[in-house]
Amino acid sequence: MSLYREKAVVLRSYKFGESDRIVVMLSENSGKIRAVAKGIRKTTSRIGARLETLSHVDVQLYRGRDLDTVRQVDLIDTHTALRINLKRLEQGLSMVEAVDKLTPDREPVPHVYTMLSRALRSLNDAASPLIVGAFYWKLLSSEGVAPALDDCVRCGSSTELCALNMQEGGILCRSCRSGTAVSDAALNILRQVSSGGLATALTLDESPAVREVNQLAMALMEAHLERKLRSVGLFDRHL
Amino acid sequence: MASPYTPPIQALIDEFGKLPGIGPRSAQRIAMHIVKMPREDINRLAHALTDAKDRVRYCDMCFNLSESEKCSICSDDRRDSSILCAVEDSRDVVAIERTGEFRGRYHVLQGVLDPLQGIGPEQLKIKEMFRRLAPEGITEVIVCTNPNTEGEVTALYIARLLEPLGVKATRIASGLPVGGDLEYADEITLGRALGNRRTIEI
Ligand SMILES: [Zn+2]
Ligand SMILES: [Zn+2]
Repeated sequence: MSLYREKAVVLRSYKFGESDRIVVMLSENSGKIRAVAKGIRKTTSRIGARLETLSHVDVQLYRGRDLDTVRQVDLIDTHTALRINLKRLEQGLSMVEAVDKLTPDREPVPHVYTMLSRALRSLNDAASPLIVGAFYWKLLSSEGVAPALDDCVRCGSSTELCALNMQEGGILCRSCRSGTAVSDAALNILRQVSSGGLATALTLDESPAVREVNQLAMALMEAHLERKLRSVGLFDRHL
Repeated sequence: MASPYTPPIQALIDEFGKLPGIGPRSAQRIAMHIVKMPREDINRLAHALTDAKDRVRYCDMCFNLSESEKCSICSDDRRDSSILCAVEDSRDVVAIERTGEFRGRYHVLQGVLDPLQGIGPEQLKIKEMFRRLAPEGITEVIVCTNPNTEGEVTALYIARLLEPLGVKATRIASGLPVGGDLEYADEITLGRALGNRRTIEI
């Protein structure tokens, strides 16, 4: 068996056998990996807490035919602030869930790894109401499916842009409009996110426009995945 | 490749292999052992299996395994009805009962929230727990789910719903295993243990 080493973000894990877990991670160079962590559910396991969802780790693995095996784990960051705060935990889970659903096994996507590890670190350092929307938008861009925002995708008009339509591939003006309505404020934020103004956008406070961008990006992500995202709004759901 | 076992034995191996914690080799060993067992032992085993299935059900109040509508803990008047311990699984009730430290009642959630695996609040016995609060005069819920991400998500979710009701939500502490050495603890557990430190009472 060959041994290899990777930096990775833990996306999720599930119980396996009596005391093991299968840990799904997005690694820097080997894409999404599934690995067995033996004995991890026992209280005597030393790696136990290190491989929790949302952790950033440096991990040593044995390559297996379909499943790899975790040999050693060093912690880069456990992202404590994400775990003790309802809103940030929901946001963190929303980001790893989309990445998990978007990336195929063992296909290297180093840019997604970089985006995810940076987004989690930034959210761990400070609250950011826009982070999930901005992250989804960036992911969609990297997939080449983010809507075009410059001019009306039908007639080329650059004024009175007011609707977003995935099928049409972008923004539409008042006379061509179809799809979802977009406010000027939300459009400005989206343009900022897609053109190098991400860092500033992430410091925005909660506002109707921020909520609009989050909802829009989530709807686009769900449409692209053709699946529901379950972590989004998790704690707003009532019984 | 055809099975080297005769069909009845292969069927037995297949059934044992479906049980938790039993791999193919153990399943073979158990099956071979069973066919060699005396008739009366086999009858007793078969009876124990069907009897357990017939007589064990879930308690109507706490959803723990029970022989009757109300389990022995829920029907015990000496238990403190104001404090409720929410656990993931019936096995956790057994583990906590063994400590002898808890005199309240339980609620078995029958799982934990795991949005990434598609487990939402609707699939758990959370609604049933909230229905118990007022009638039983519960003032505190200890969330005793496992100290992992899913356990924390569940605890935060429950705490958020309890807050407007004025019911206190507490979380089981995380720390070092008693009897172990500090230097062997992982940094997260050790960090939590420091965070959850207590004043030494003398
Ligand atoms: Zn137009
Ligand atoms: Zn009961």
